[in-house]
Amino acid sequence: MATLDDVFAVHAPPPGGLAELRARIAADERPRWRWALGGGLALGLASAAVLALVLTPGEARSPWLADAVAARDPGLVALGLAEPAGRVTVAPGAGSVAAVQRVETGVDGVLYYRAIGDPR
Amino acid sequence: MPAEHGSTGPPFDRVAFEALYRRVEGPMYNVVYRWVWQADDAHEVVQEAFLRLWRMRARVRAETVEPLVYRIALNLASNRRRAAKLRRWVGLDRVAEQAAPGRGAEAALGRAAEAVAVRRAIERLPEKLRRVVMLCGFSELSYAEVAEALGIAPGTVASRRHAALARLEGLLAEGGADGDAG
Repeated sequence: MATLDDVFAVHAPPPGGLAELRARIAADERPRWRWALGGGLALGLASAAVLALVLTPGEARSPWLADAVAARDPGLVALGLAEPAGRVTVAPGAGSVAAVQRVETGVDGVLYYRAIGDPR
Repeated sequence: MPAEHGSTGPPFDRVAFEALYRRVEGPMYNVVYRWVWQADDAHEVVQEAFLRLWRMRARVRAETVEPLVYRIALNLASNRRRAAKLRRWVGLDRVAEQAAPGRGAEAALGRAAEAVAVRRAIERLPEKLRRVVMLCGFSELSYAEVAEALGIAPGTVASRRHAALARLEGLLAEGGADGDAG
């Protein structure tokens, strides 16, 4: 007949339990680091892209417009002014004029405005 | 309830964690084995309990961690037992494991019958009695720690242990009796 000693008979657990546990912990933690790293990188890239779009002036987002602004303007050259350096702003609803460049002449109260057409 | 917050004691770091595992693995394996009745399952429960403990290590106190990990293991074992449709009786493979090699068929059958009777007796114990008597029987927890692990009063531990042992003796004397509490 079975007795209480049989109830409390001790069984040995399989060997290597601690090594297995270490491996489980390592496997459990590894993906979290990867996900955290990947998530952080993705978030950083997305933030950088958004910031670039928000902070970059409009003219820089249009290659043709940037080229037009950088080009020598005969009017400016004739006036003896420096290379165009004023801010270019898009003039909405101005027909064929896509942007207007405003250049300070160095003379009080005198400004040079340059109309830039859209070549496309 | 095992304290999990407001750590003021020694840190529960990797060294303490592994030392606890070395000390508790065997006793805990024997406790949860009385729920799942499979060596692999019991091993799995112990591993899972410690893995969960590791995940929450920042919130545990070293001095109360042992009752906590036992509580985790008991809950895992109970859940596993409910989820899995365990075999009603000790399987032939288990019988072969429990029979000492070289004893012959008759001795093996005798051991198997005893194993069945023991299992039936343990399974007929109410869960609250079984938890107490197994923790007291296998773990090195004090009554206070068993009470902490199970969320009961220390005095209740002693009374339940006494009741469980008396019930087990009766059930074993009946030869395991008929029926199965599952």
